[in-house]
Amino acid sequence: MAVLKFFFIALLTIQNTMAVETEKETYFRDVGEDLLSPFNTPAKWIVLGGTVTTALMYVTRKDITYRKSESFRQAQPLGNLGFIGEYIGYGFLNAVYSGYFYWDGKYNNNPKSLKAVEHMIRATTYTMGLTLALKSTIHERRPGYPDDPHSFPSGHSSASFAFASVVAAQHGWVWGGIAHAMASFIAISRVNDDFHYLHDVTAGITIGASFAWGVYYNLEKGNPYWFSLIPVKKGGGVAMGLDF
Amino acid sequence: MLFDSFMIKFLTFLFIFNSAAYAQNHSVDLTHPFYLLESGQFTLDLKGGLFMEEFEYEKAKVVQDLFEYKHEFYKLGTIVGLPQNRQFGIEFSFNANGDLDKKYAPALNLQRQDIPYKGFHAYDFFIQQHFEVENSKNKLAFELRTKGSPLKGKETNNTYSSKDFSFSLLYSHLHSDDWRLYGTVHTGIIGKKKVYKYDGEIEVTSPYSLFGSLIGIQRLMGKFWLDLNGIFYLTTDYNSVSPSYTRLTDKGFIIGGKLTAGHYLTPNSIITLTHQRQGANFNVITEDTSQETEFEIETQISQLGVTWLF
Repeated sequence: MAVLKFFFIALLTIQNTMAVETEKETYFRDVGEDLLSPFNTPAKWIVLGGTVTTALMYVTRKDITYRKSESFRQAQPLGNLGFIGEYIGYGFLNAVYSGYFYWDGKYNNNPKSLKAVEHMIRATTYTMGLTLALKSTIHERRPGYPDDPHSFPSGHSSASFAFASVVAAQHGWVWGGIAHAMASFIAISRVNDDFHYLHDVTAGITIGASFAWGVYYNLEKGNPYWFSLIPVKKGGGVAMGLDF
Repeated sequence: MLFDSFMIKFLTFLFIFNSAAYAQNHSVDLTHPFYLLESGQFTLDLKGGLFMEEFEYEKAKVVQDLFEYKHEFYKLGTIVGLPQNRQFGIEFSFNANGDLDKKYAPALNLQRQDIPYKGFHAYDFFIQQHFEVENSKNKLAFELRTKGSPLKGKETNNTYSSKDFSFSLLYSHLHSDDWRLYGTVHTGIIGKKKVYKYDGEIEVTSPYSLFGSLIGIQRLMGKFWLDLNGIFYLTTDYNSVSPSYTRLTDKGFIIGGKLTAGHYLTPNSIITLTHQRQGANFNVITEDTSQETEFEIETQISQLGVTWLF
């Protein structure tokens, strides 16, 4: 959970350093449009399907929290390889993508790459923001680690499917297919290693994919903007500052 | 012997119905895994084959119980085209010459049983909405499906006593006119199953859900095609309770594959030969983890089918 909080603050800081002035005094409306994009763009169908899926996974789950992290080997589809999904699913793919295309955009003067970076950072920021908010409020215990109350939703699934959806939107479905395969591996690894229930994973997939596609449709409509971060006095939280 | 009898019956049906097919060319590509019919068109599907399913529970590398189902099956179905890019389909399946072989480890002190079964197996109903997409090489559709049986579940009929509901997103892409990639994203709930056993006990399996994907590839060679696909689903709890034993699990996964060879008999009829295998593994939570425990269900289906388009 601490890693996720650090990652979210890092994302907001990165957006701050890339802030571009604009004469449009529409920041509240633009942020609001992005936050609502899973509901008022074609991404709403992902939200609908994902929500129904998550509900179906939840209703058949039995309320059992048992011994710590113990699945029989034969019941683990990834065997002992789940740790790979755990490590790369902490936003590593999102960060590598953003870093590479930022370098390409700045040093090779490629505006398409900068647009891709903007998409990735915005999608990942909103995804991680909602994921953190839900983890902090719902307090579902993890199946294999019942002392940890941050099971719902899966942050690894939401971040990795935000990554995969951005890749598909920006680069087509060949690269998107590969990215979705990687994201699926990460999502499966969470159930494989008893960190999450299946409904946690489907909820994470829904959040990541819906924000990525929602922001994509907003970008296509032409809503470029940046928002900036202002540190708070006590240093224990995150505040958002806006230029006027 | 069983298979010879089935083949004779099936080939007889095939000869009778194929001779009634007419040669008018329609625009429906019957090789497509989820072809769309025009409004007013319909298909008639006849399928038959062999089914085998094995439920195995193993503890500390000793098989505790092993239930094997084997039967011939016959399916009769139709798909009907509707306006606005919609269609629905329904299929009825029947079991014949079925045999359920139940074996137990000696320590359980339960007798081996050999139970014959036959009868109506299940209905399978779906409705599809196909979407308009810009690229004519791509297809996108949404499907709602339900499967079940109105009969009481018994070991002597092996009817499908649960009521399942599922929805899927179907997609495909035609690449260079010879290759087709396709897949689904699938969510389903397998309903509560109640089976009246031969010895008078009742076994109840609670509902469980599954979520996953199918990915397939087709090689198109004129009148002939090959199709290979694989599935992977994660599941929630599969729990089965009866007076003799209780199986409680907290999660599982299903993995499988299907190979199909198809051929156009006439412009409006096709024949397909399919072999499918699938395995499901569930994580048992009532056993000590120091003893290796495995609960799996393996399924094997071989099928011959013919489809006529009218």
